Amino acid sequence: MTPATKAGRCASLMKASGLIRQEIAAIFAETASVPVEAYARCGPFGMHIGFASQDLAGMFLPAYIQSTPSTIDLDLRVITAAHHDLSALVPEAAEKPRLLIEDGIYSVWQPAVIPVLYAVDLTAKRGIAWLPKGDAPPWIRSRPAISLIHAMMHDTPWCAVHGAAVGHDAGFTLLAGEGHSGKTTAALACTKAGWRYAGDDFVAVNSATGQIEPLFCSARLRPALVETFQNFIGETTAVSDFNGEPRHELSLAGLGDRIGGGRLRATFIPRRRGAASPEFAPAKQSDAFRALLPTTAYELPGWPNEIADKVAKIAGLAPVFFVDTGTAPMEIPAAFAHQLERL
Amino acid sequence: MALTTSVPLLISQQFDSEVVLANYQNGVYYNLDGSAAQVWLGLKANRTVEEIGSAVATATAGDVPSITQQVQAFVDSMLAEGLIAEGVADARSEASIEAWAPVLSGAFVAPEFQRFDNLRELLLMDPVHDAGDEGWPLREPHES
Repeated sequence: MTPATKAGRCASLMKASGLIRQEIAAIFAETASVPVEAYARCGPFGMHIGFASQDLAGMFLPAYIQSTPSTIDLDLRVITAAHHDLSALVPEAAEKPRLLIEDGIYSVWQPAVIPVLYAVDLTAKRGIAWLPKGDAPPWIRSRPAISLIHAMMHDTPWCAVHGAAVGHDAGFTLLAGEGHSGKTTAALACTKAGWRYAGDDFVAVNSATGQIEPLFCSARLRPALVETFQNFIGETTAVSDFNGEPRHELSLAGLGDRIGGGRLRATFIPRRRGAASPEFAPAKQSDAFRALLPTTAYELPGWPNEIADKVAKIAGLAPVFFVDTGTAPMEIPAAFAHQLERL
Repeated sequence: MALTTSVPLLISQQFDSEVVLANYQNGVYYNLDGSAAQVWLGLKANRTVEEIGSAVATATAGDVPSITQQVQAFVDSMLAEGLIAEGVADARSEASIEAWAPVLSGAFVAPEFQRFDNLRELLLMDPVHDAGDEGWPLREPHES
C-alpha cells in the first residue's frame, strides 16, 4: 500500500483538518534536517524556512527578507512531490481552488497550471508549501506562502494588503490600485531616489496603528521599465513569461536596511489621466477602500468580512489622494515627498 | 416581503453617507450614495419599503407615493443584482427603529447604484479567487 493510499484510508476516518495536521507533523519529523534553511521576517512575523532542495531555495529565497534567528512565529517547510507524497490531501475535483479553515488548520489548494498546496497548523505554528510539480508560477515565487501569513494575521489588527509602500522622513505612503496602475513604477522610482522600500505588491499594515512592514523584498517589473531602472536593478534579472505577461523578477535584498517599514502618512491611488508631471487630487476613504480591497480579498482566501473591516480602517487612517504619476518616473519621488511634507 | 441586506459573499462597508458593496464571488463593486445609500441603510435597519419611502419623502419634502414608488423600483433593481435578498429580516427592536433616519438634504434624487466590473477579467484570471468555504472533500482511497 502506498503512503498516499494509507493516507487516503485515514481520510475516510478523520476530518480533513485532522489529516492535514497529521501530514504537517510527519513532514516536520522527516525534515528535521534540510539542505537549506533560512530565517526571514515577513510583516510582523519571524520565520524559519526549511527548503527540501537547493532548487527550491533558489526559487523562493530571493523574495524573502532574510534575517538573523529570532522569534519564530512560523516554521515553514517547502517541499515537492519528490520529497513527500501529499496527493491524498489534494481535494476531490482537484481542478477547483479550495479553502479549508477548521480546528486550527488553514489550508489552500491552488490548482491552475502549476498547482500549490499551502497548509498551516496555527497552534503548532508550522506550515508547509507543497509543489506537486516541483515548480511554482512567478507570482507565487514573488510572494511565497502569503496566504499562510494572512492566516496568521487572523484575529490580529494586521492585514496583508494589495499595494506598494515606500517611505522617507515625512512618513510612508501606501500606493493602492489595481494592476498596471503604476504602483511598481512609483515604488521603484522612490526607492531608487533613496526612500525605504516596503513592497510593490503586498505589504503588511496594522489597521489599528498604521504601522507598515514589508512582507517580501521582491518586485515584478514590466520590460518597458527596465531601461529606466537599469542602473538600479543591475545588469541581469530573471525574466518570467507567464500567460504572455513578461516580468523582470527582481530581488531588492541588496537594499539591506532600506527594506523596512514605518508609519502610514498618506494613501495614494495611482491612475493615468494623461498628465506630464505628477498631479494629485483629493480622494475619499471609500476610494482607498475600493482600490485596496479587490485583489487583497481575492488573493487571500478566508475571512472576507474581517479583511473588509481591516481594509476599511486602513483606508481611514490617513489622507487619501489620487495621483497621476506622469510620464517621467524620476519626477515621482520629489512630487511624493512634497505632497507628504504638506500634510 | 421581508428583505435582508445580509447576502452571502457580499461585503458591505459604510463610509459616512456612502455605502460600498463588493461581491466576493464575481468581483463586481457597487457604490451607493445619496438616496441609494439611505434606502440600503433603511433596509439594513429592517424598515419596509413604505417606511423608507415615507421617511425619505419627509426628509426631502417630497411626494410620498411618488418617492415610495421609486424606492420600490430601486429595491427591485437591488434584488435583481443580488445586493439584497428575500428572507427573514432581523427582529425589529426599539433600538433599531430609533437608530435609523435618512440623512439627506435638498430635493429628492432617484436612487441608483454605480456598478464597477472592471476587475472581473483580472479576477477570473486569478487562480485563487473562487476558493470557497464549502469544505475539503477528500478523495476516496484507492488500492494500488
